[in-house]
Amino acid sequence: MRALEESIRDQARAPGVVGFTGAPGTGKSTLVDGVVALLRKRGSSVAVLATDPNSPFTGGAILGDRIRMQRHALDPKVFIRSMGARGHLGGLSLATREAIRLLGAFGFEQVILETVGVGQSELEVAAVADTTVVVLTPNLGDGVQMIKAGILEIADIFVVNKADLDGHVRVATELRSMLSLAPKSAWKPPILATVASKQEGVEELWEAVLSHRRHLESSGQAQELAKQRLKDETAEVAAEIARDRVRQALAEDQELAARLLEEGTPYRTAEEILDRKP
Amino acid sequence: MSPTAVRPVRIIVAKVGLDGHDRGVKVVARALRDAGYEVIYTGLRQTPEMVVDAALQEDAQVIGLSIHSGAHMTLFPAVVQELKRRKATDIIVFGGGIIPDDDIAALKKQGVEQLFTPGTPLQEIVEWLRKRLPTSPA
Amino acid sequence: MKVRARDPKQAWTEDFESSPVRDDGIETSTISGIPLKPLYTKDDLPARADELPGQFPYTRGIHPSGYRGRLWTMRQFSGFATAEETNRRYKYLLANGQTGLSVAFDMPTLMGQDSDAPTSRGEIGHCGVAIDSLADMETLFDGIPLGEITTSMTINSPAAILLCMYIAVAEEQGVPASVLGGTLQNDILKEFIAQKEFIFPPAPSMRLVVDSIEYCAKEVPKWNTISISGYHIREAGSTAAQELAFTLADGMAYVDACIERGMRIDDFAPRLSFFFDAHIDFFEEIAKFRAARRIWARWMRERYGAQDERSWKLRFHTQTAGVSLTAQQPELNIARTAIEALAAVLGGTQSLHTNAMDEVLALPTDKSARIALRTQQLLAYESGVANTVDPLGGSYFIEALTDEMELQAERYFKQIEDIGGVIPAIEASFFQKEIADSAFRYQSELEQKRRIMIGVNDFTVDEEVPIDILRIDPRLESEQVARVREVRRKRDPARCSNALTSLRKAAAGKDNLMPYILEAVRAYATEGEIMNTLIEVFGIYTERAVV
Repeated sequence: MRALEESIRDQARAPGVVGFTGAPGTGKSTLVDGVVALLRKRGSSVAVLATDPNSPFTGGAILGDRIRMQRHALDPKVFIRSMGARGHLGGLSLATREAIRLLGAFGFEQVILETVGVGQSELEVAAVADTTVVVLTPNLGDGVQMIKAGILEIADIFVVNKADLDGHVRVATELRSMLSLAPKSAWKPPILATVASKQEGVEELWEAVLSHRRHLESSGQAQELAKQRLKDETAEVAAEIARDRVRQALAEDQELAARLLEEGTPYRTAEEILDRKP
Repeated sequence: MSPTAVRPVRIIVAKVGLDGHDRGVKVVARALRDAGYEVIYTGLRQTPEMVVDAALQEDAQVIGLSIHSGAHMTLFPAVVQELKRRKATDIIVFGGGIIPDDDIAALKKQGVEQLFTPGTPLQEIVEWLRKRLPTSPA
Repeated sequence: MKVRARDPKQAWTEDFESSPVRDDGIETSTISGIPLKPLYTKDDLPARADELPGQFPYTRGIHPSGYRGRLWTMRQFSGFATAEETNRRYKYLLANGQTGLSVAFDMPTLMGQDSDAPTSRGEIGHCGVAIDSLADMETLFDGIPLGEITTSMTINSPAAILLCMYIAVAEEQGVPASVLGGTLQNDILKEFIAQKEFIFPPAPSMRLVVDSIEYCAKEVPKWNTISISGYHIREAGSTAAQELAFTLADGMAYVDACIERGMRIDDFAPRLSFFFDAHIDFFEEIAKFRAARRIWARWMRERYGAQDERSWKLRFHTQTAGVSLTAQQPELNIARTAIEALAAVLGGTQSLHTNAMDEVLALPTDKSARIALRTQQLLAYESGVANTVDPLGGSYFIEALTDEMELQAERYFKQIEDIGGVIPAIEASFFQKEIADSAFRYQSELEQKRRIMIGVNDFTVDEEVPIDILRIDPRLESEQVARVREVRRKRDPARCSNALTSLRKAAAGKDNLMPYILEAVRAYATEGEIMNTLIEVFGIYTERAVV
């Protein structure tokens, strides 16, 4: 990995990264497909990294986002990679960050992340994306109240998709009132309506994304976030390395492993392993 | 990437050609998922170019094709050819459908590794894949 | 000796519960998952007025005399690669007393593509005849008097085009459209749901279907404009209840569309026909057919206000289940087909196709095709089942199961209505998901040996499974390609181009497209050219696939 990092460092041209998250069935893939179409019409190259959850029991997954973007098949300026979330805490963002850097080196101007809002995946997306879009739909059952609080905090833009269905106004209204209770910040997340299946509202959505990016630049937040991310990523890489080192040591050093099991001292054992020369 | 992270085996399943009978390919996709694979179903009416391009983008190790229309002698070799053209001959090609024995033999000679005919238990397909690709799914 | 008087029903229950029970792990529910009691008695008979055949709601049959009056039509579907070969086979069949023809088309034709389209390569002639233009249709029916026979054409997206070709050939024979009889499958909704031979999006696809129904109501009144199909839905993996519900829901969607067009129900409903599967779970199928008639009759009369009793009477064709056949020990398929055919007959089908035993593996040999036909004749002439109308009527079990089928169908109708109708349900992938789930459930049951397929997961033998498909001579493809190019060369270019231009304009408007398609067909526009013209206006549909 270090060799790869070195080799692309000079070609690093950070692509714009926007993340889409939301519950299953909200039409994220169709919306992303619409955004890709828009970007292509404007001549941009775009990569999509779409995540689906793996089965916690079998580890398998049916990764169903690519099939929603069939019209871009064989377009050399569209790259789609379906990823299984694989349940690794923090593992998603690590792989994604590497992928984004590589994609930038290969000349992709825009990167779209797409993930289902289960578990912690939306936080992982927010940690990596410049702009996070949360997608909702009118038939939310018990209403916006059911949405996890975390989602409300990370959203830079809200989209109510399938806005041709009854109830979309109510969702937007509920959302607005919940947001009014949130602490004030410089960026007020807009609430947009789309009908992704008809490509309606997609231009406005992209305008909002660009507007958010301009805000990040002008407020200095972009640079701050970039610095913080680099530090976060370094910490995560370190954590992975450390994790591997510990697993390897426990696998190879029988005496150490036996001592751990007998004495039940994970903290001491971990420190001991990390103190050793690699 | 970290050396102990095990990548699940990734499989593209698709229907090439005009045939739209997708009951089999969907059942196989689910079975592969239940066996621990990451499966990407690219849908109906795929061309050989589309299937191979998807396999490359997705870094898949396997391509599985389903053909019931009798056009297998044209379409399977076309996929194998496209893999050659894209320098991706390490990707394994297998498939299923209504395919006579002599055609199976001929297709195997052309680079299709395995073909499953009607009545094959899903377990048999999974076991063949497991043996063929020793890296166990995560 | 003291004799304890037990209530007989209670006695049976006690005796049953103290008897040994088979422990082979095999499901005792129907193949669709409907739980079955070991015994049905008078108590299970639904409380309802006596039903009689030929009387609303026709549960016991649409004709008072059943097969005593007229046997079902033995209509075997068959197809060959070239129009010429098929024409020869038709003449042979007609000479041997068959009065009904059935046309199978090849994949490119079914998908509205000319034989020289790049995506037709390798696909020509495998599952039926290649028809690129009126010229091929003329060859297909050369020397066959269209005024004296009926023809069934199994085609969907391009159905209107093929119907126009048929009408044009008849014209050339001097046969007016008003006497033409036959059936067009023309059921685009089930394509979105199951068979996936769709081209245009749902709305323009429906427009074309309604155009053909509207046109035929006036110009081709003897023609069965549509064969609303459950067969493909079932073969894709649905349960019997889903087959029943989804098919009838499709039917109602077509009726709604025609009424929205301004047609009166009785002007077109008598010519709607249906097409069901006959699967291996014997009694469930019989109940399904009976329930279908009852449901349709009620909806037509009560919901749609149809007054002509011909609008209330559901007529259907049946095909025995292809998916129930095995490649292993294929002779068993003769027995399976016989059981399925018997279910269709006891269910009162109007016409029947029985599969040949080797159809999993190949196009049938002459001998196996003959056995398939003889199976029907056996039922008709030897078994005695045709002597009484609806012989199972009144059976505690059958009546209870018929009611259960009806109940399950009504539940599905409600679900579909809640989504907003058939087309919204298609777009929400409702049907497709139900079907995929049922297919997977059944496969899992097979793998766990909770259901058995003899020769496949039990009672297997060590055997060679000789799959043999119809070998298409590669010359055939190049000949057909040459033929279509020749047609393009020889036709009047101005007439053809004008026809396509008019068609395009009409497609963008609201006119009934049949006359425009007819003119294009007469001008020897090819099927692909007509379809592409329509695609320019309607667009191409990509499904939102669910696994």
